[in-house]
Amino acid sequence: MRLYAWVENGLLFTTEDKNLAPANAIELEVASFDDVIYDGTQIRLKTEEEKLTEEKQKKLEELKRYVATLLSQTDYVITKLAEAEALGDTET
Amino acid sequence: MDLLQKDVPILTKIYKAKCFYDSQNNRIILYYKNHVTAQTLVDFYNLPITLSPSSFLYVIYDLRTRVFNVSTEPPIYTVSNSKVYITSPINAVYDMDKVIIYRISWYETDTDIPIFTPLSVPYSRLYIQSSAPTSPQLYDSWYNTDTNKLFYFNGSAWIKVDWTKWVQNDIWYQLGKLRINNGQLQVSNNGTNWYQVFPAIGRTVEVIADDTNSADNFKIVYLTIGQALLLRNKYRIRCACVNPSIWSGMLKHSLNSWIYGFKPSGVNISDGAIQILRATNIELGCAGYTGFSFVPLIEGTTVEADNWVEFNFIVLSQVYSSATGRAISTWPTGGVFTARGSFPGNGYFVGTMTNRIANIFVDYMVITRQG
Repeated sequence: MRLYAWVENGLLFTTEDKNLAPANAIELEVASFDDVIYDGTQIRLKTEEEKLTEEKQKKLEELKRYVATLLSQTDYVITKLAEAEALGDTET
Repeated sequence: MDLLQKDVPILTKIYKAKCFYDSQNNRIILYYKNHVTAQTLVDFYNLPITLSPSSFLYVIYDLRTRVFNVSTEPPIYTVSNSKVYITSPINAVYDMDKVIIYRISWYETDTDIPIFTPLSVPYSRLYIQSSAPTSPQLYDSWYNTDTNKLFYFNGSAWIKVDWTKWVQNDIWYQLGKLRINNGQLQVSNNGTNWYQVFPAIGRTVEVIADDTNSADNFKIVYLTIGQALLLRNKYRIRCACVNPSIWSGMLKHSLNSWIYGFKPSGVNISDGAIQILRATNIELGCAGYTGFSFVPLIEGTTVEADNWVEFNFIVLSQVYSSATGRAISTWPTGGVFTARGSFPGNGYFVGTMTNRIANIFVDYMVITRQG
């Protein structure tokens, strides 16, 4: 896709719509807007390593959320166990 | 009367006739007086179609049968020996004193409806195009892109309204972010990039546009304070938005989706961030995420095809939002959310609904400009 990218207040903006791009926007041909990065000095395409790191991060987040949904169903029991122990209630 | 009419009797003889277009009821009214008997008679003709502004109608009225022939084409006729020979649009011969031929012309009046605000109408669909919509419903709006004039449909005719009055009352106008330039309403967030936007009638406005057709991307409605935009199965939030403004709304969509929100003005940003407090019926949880290409509104459900959120946001350099709604769930889970993200300097409309993967077509959404 054709993408227009620019930096404003140190932040990267991109759009496919030329009408929305300011005069200082640069034009890029990319597969996804996710492939573009502003590294603090220039707008450039992400390296393969950067893409891989990002993908790993996303997968980790997804895994965390998935685990959280599994654990949330047993959290209640664990909390109640801890409460019972704190109150000295050890009877089953 | 909201329409001026010019009445040009082409041919009358014994009868003195007066013909009107009744825009309220979309019909022709004919008054005629017989000079011999001094009787005044009235007849009506209900038009099968709505008369367009700035058009002509030609009436041939048979005084014996009291039958109207109404056409948009001028009749072709000759007069000879006290007879009228008509060859178009009908073929007929009349005694000269037994027929009335009349032309009615009418056009938009420059007299606008007094004390009219767009909030007077509950709901209006906005058409942005160069020709009048063919099957309008009551209170539909039509912005004529050729003339930059706004009309609403009163059930039988398109009535022009002066949109420039309430625009000039807007805080954006007074801050120099809204202007009328060559008859067009334009908005700019940074004073450099100006975009045309379109005024509308209605407390709630629905823009008639195709979100899958980029040629329709220019169709952005300008909402005055108190007006709302309705989206049905759409993802483009087509209302003008600049810094400063405050908005509120509610939506429901059916896409399994984690964090979702909107790309301000349809632009990918890089600093979208959200803080989350969520609760099931037995526990509380919290989380925070950064680096989104959009302004997050909420953490949605990735389990069920049920997502709804009530939200508010303020545009003040950044977009700052708060929301409550349905969160990630295997159990019933609700949450409260605060989020933010940059509004681009050249941004000019609210944006496009999205998550990290795709545009989100909302089932139903209403967003109101609060200030």
